[in-house]
Amino acid sequence: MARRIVITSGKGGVGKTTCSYLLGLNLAKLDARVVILDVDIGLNNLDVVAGIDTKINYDLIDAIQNRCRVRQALVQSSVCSRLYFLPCVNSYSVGRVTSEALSAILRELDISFDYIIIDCPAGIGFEFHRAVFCANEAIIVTTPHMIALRDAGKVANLLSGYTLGQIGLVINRVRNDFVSRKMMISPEEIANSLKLTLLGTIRESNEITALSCSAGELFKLNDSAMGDFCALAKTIHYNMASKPNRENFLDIKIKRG
Amino acid sequence: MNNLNRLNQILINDKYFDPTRFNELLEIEVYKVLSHYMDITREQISTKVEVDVEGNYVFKCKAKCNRLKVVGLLK
Ligand SMILES: Nc1ncnc2c1ncn2[C@@H]1O[C@H](COP(=O)(O)OP(=O)(O)O)[C@@H](O)[C@H]1O
Ligand SMILES: [Mg+2]
Repeated sequence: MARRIVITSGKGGVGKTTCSYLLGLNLAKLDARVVILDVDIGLNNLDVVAGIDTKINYDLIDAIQNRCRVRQALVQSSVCSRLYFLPCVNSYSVGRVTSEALSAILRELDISFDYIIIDCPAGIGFEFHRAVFCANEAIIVTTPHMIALRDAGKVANLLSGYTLGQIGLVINRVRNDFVSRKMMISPEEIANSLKLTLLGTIRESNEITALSCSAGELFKLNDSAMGDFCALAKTIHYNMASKPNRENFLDIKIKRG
Repeated sequence: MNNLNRLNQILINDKYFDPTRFNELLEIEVYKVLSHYMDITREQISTKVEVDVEGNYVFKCKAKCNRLKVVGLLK
C-alpha cells in the first residue's frame, strides 16, 4: 500500500504546492513511484507548477464522476518517469466531491504507487478535512513567520483528531542569516513550540522566486533549496518509513509524584 | 517579549477552546468507567480540561461518593 501524505498548512502561500512538487520529484529520484494529487479543487495550481497543464485530457473530477478511468487521468512527468500527477482543472459544475469519493480514487492508486502526495488547499474548512481524511500521514508546511506559525499550530491541533501515523513539520523560506541574528525563530525552537517532529527546513530561494515567474520550470531548481528538498525526501523515505511515531495511549509512561 | 515567547503565548492561547460539548462527552465516558468502581451519580462527577503554561492539555476529574464498589475486586 502507498504512503498517503497530505501536505497541509492552514495558511495559503507558504509553499504547499511547491513542496508537494519538489518533494514528489525528489522521492521519485530515489526510485520511488510517486503520484501527486491536486485536491485544491477550483484553485488548482499544481498543473502549472509542474508544467503539465497542456497535457491534461481528463482530471480528478472526471475520474470521480466516471467519465474516465483513474489511470486515464494520470499525467506522467516529462522530467522523471516515476513521477505522475493527478490534476484537477475542472472548476465548474463540480458539485460536492465527498471524502468517500476521493478515498475511492486513492484506493485505486494504492497498488501502483509507493507515495501518494496530496496537495491540500489552504483553510480549515471541508476541503481541508476531505484531504486529511484520505491520508495516513501529514506534513505541515509553514514559514517562520508569526501568522503562518499560528495557523500551523491550529492545524496541528485539528490533525490530532485523525488517526494519522505521523505528523511532521517542514519549515520553508528559512533565512539562516536572520536566524543567527535572532530576528527569526530557529527551526528547532519552532518545532519545539509546535510540539512537532521537524522533518526538514527549506531555505528562502531566489531561484524558486525566479523560476516561479514562469510555468513548469521549477524542476530546473539547482541551488541549496533543491539540496534541502533532496534531504527532506531522504528523511521521509529512509528514516521514517511508516514508523508510527504517535504513542499508543496504552504505552504512555505515567509520570508519578 | 521576544519572538519565541510571543509565539508560545499565541499558540497556548489558541489551544483554549469552547469545551462544553467535549466536556459533556468526556464526562459521560468517565462516568461509565467510574460507576463500575464507585457508587456514584452523574451529578457527583465533574471533569475539566485546562491548558497549562507549557501548552499541555490537563484533564482534571473530581468524583465524590459515599461508597466504593469493592465486591469482585477482593479475590
Ligand atoms: N523556499 C522558497 N523560496 C522562495 N520562494 C518560495 C519558496 N517556497 C515557495 N515560494 C514561493 O511562494 C509562493 C507560494 O507558494 P505555493 O507553493 O504556491 O504556496 P501554497 O501552495 O501553500 O499556496 C510561490 O510563488 C512560490 O514560488
Ligand atoms: Mg497551493
